[in-house]
Order: sequence, then C-alpha cells, then structure tokens
Amino acid sequence: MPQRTNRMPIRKLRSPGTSLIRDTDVGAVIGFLTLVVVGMWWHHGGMIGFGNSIVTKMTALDQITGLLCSEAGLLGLILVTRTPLLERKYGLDRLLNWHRLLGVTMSLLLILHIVFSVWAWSIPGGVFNAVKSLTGGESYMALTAVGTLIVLLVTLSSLKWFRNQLSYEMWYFVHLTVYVGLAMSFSHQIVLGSDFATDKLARWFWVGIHVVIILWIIWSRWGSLVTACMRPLRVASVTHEAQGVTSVVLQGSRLHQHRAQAGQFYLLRQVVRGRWWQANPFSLSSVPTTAGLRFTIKARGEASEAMTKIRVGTKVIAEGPYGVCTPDAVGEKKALLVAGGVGIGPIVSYLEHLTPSSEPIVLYRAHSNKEVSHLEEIEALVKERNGRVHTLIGPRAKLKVADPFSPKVLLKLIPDLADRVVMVAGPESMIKAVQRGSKAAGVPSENIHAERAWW
Amino acid sequence: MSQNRPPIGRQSKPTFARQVMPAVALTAVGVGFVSMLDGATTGSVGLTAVATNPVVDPNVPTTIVADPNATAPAAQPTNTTLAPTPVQGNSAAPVATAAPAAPATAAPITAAPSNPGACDGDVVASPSAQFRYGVIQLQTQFTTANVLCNVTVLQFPNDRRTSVQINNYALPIYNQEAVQNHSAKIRAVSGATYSWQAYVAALQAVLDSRP
Repeated sequence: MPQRTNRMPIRKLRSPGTSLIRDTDVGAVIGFLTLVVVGMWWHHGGMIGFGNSIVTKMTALDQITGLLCSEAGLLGLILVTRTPLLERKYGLDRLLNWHRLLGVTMSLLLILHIVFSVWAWSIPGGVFNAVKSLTGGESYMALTAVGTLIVLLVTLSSLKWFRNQLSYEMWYFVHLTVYVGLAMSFSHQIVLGSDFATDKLARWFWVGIHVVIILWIIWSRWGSLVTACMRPLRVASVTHEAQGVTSVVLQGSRLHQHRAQAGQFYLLRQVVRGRWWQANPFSLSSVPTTAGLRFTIKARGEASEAMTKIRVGTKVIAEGPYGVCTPDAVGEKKALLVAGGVGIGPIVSYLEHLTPSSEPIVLYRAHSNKEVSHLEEIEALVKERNGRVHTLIGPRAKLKVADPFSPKVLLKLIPDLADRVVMVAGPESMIKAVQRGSKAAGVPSENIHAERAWW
Repeated sequence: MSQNRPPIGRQSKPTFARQVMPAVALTAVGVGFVSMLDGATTGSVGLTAVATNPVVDPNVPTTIVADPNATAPAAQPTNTTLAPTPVQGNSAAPVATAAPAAPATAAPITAAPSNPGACDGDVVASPSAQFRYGVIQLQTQFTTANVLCNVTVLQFPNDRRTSVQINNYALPIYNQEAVQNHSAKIRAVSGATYSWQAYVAALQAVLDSRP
C-alpha cells in the first residue's frame, strides 16, 4: 500500500517533456553515415575500373552493398537504444516500426552482398570454389558465414507470417541472437574488407562507431531496465471493469520522481516466476499522479490475461513511459476523442488532462455492452468540460449506418469537426477508418493522432 | 523543482539555422574524414591494355623481377627493379619464375626447328590488372605449340608491407599452378584473393589474345 507518498499532497506527475531532436537532425545523421560509407568506398577506388569487367563490377557492388548493409544495421541498432532523444520525438511504436524496416533493408542488402561476392569470386574458379572460399577458405569467413545465417534467420523470424507461428519467448530469444550474428560477421569486415584491412583511419572509425553504438545500447537500453528494476512498483488495487477488462493501479514509494503524461504507455513485467522476463505494453488509463498509475487491461492474449489476474501486492517492473500520443497535441483547440473497445483507457486519461475549452466529444465504439467500461467516469469528465459522449455499441452489421466513421456521418454528428484535433485509440482497422473519414471531412492530417493497440 | 519542460510533441518551429547547421557541420566532418583516408589510385581488378607491343622479342629474354631484398619498399621509387640478366632458377627471386627460367644462356635458337616441348616460343606481356591494392602485370611465355610454359610477375603492389608479404608468398604459387595447368584455372591462396583475381584476369587476357 502507498507509504510515504500519502504524506504528500497528490499531484500530477511532471511531463517527460519534449525532445531537442528535429527531423532535419535525423536526416543529417543518416546523410553523414551514408556520405562516409559511400565516400570511403569511392575514395578507396570503388568506382575505378567499374566498367572494365564483370569481376570489377561485381567486386565494386559487393563492397558497396556490404557497407550499406552494415549502415542499415547500425541505424537499426541506434533505434533499439530507445534513446529519449528519438523516443520523445517519434514514439516507441514508430521507432520499432523503423527498426523493422531497417532490418528488412539490411537483410536484402545482405543477400545482394552475398550474391555479388560469390559472383565476383567465382569468375575463374567456379561457384563451388567461391562458396568454399567464402564459407571457410578465407580467414574469418567461417565465422562470418555462421553470423550471416543467424542474421538472416532473425529477420525471417520477424516477418509477419513467421512471427505469428512463433511464441513470444521463442521469437524474443531468437531475436536476441542477432547480437551474436552481428559480432561474428563484423570480423570479416575488418580483416578482409578492403576498406578497412589496409586503411588504419577507416578501420578505427569503423570500430569506433560500432563501439559507441554498443555502449549506447548498454547505457540507454539496459540502463533504463536497471533503473526500472531498482524502483519496482507494486499492485495497489485491481478492479473488475467489464467482461475481461480489469483496471490495475500501480504504486511506488518513489513515484513522485517519475515523469509521465496522460496517453503514454509502459512496458510492464510482473515479478512472478515464469513471467519476469516478459514485458508487455500497457497504456495509462488515467492521468498519472503520485497516487498511482492506472492501466486498463483487456484479456486478449496469454500475457494480458495474466495481467488481468494479477494479485494486489505483486511487484511490477515498469519501463517507460513511452509514446508521444498525448493530449498536449490538443493545445488550445477543441477535441474529438474516438475510442474502440479497450482503447477507452487512454481516452480517459486524455479527457482528464483536457481543459473545458476543448469541449471534448467522445465517440465510444464497442462490440457489446459487456465490453463497455469506464462509462460513468467518462460521462462525468465530459460534463465538467462542456462536451458530450456518443456510444456506438453492437456488432458492425447491426449498426444503423454502414460506416460509422464516414465523413458524412461524422460531420452530421460533429458539424465543427474540421476545427477539432482528432485523437483515436483502438484497433488498427478502426484507426484507419477514423483517419480516412476525418481527413475526408476536412481535418488536416497533422491534427489526427492515433494510439495503436498497446494494452 | 517543478519547472516543466515543453510538452511532448510540441516543439517550437525551428529556425532556418537550427535546421541547416547540423547537416552542414556533419557534411563538413564527413567530407573531411573521407579526404583524410588513404586514397587508392586503383580500384578493384581492371585491365589496362599495354600500350607497347605486347610481344617481346624472345631473343632478349629480359626478365623484370621484384627486388627480393627490398626490406623498405617505401625507399624504392618504383615497384620493380630491372634485372639485366635472366633469372637463374627459382632461388634468385621468390616472385620471379616458377618454371625453369627462359633460356638460361643468351644463345637462343632461332633458325633450328623448335622442339615443341621446349619453352622457347613467344614471350607476351599481359595487360596490367588493376585492383584494390595496386597493379599486377605478368610476362608469359609459350612453347612453339602455343602452350603456356612460363609466367613471370613483372609488377605487383609492394607499397604496403602486407602486400609484399602476401604477394611474395602467393604469387609464386600462382605462377606454378598456371604453368602446371597451362591455363588461368588457378586456386586462390587464402588471404591473397584480390591478388588472385587480378592475376587470373591478367593471365586470362593473355590467353584470350592468343590464337
């Protein structure tokens, strides 16, 4: 139960604040890395004799694809640091999405690198000899071949179809082996890579940039985990809200030191045997205060179901907060909040944060009455803020209108829609429908904010 | 204590300088860094045709060998040293010849019908094969039956200690294999694959030019 915090007045937690990073900075860093990589290749003579023979062409291509493959890998690693510099600008979900894209890019470049290398080396000796050299004949190539295989398997395991076949833990541990794979493949770059084998400065730069990123991962990624472990929270209360929907309030003696904002989410791990290594994202469902962090959780899968059955007093390690979809986006404007199912959680937290000038309108979409939660809470909050609530309950086929989020329906319900900031939380399909509908109804796209399914 | 940072997602509009400066600074650093790297004048393997007539008069078997005693390659202004006398066997220079050297005495047989097995046919210089670490150029000799019977390395990169080490080790092996197989079908020596690619490219170019 709450201890020291009770002696202090309850207050909202401070906001984690914005990031200093700009889009142009990200562009500059990517441009810098690309410039150095391509420049290195060019300066070392990558282009000389490009047109002369097939060997020349293939060798040049195998070098540049190898270098760009490494660059994509490095950028992907920067994203997993979850550095606040990037996270507070773009949000964790976008960072992870880019990480995925970079992973796929890296693997495609890797495949090209392999094809070009084998091609270049096979010109007089044949493909068999080339493969033999490249998987063992050359120094460190046996190591590299194994590393390459690991990297490709990790990418494969993250593709949607394979990802769905694997259990979370299986996927997670396969994914962790990518560090081993990358380390194994790094050896051949330094020993055989013609850009680094003979050019000392280039070699130091390349090793240096890898070391810096590894230290950054340890500092930022593991550091935040260690911090979270050092100040664990405890479950203060568990409330049944609706069928399969539960609210969990987490408390901690040092909660007043946290910074968090309504609309953000945490990665929660229960410190219970068999679950401690599993972190899952859950959105705040009320404004975070020194009195506690509330999460509204729907049992949708094995992990979230375990979370709904958590016992009072259980230790929980909370990493975060993450996410940039916060009610700060509303500013001085009016708001339209759209919730789908358990997406109502973040919507409640937005509402609490909004001022009466926002006159919030809440659209609450749910498949059945049993799913509906927090309705009285919302009605009270909306009333205080001169807003109103519309509920759309029932299976899609039974709704009066075919598409409840078509611009026509939306404008009829909310005539001043174009002046409002739209915030959506719910399943992907509903987010898309709302985005499409409100864009067509005249809401500029920078005023549409979506929180994906994180609960 | 309670000073609040600006809210998430609400950055003030950046000034032009704020937008452009990082890119300019990083570009300058990048360009500076790249220009500080060792510039290679040569790229990966590329053949340059020899301007002079590639067929060398077999009567004057001038063999050009790398100086085996070059401990400080930097001190050598040129890659190769002109040896006025033919190389005697394998012992003189590690890179020079693998097969029995071309006519050991300067008494070539010109009038008498050639023995098809003897290595006394055309001497042909290869085009120079440019690759990442420098240039490899070969001199080949054929029997009168047009079979490759001798390969000598005219030029190889020796501006780096590693290159000298690798090539001193690998090139004689390539010479030997080329002569044994009478072709450019040579296995790469581990660690000397770039040299191997250039070597094969040069040798193949000569073989392709033969009738």
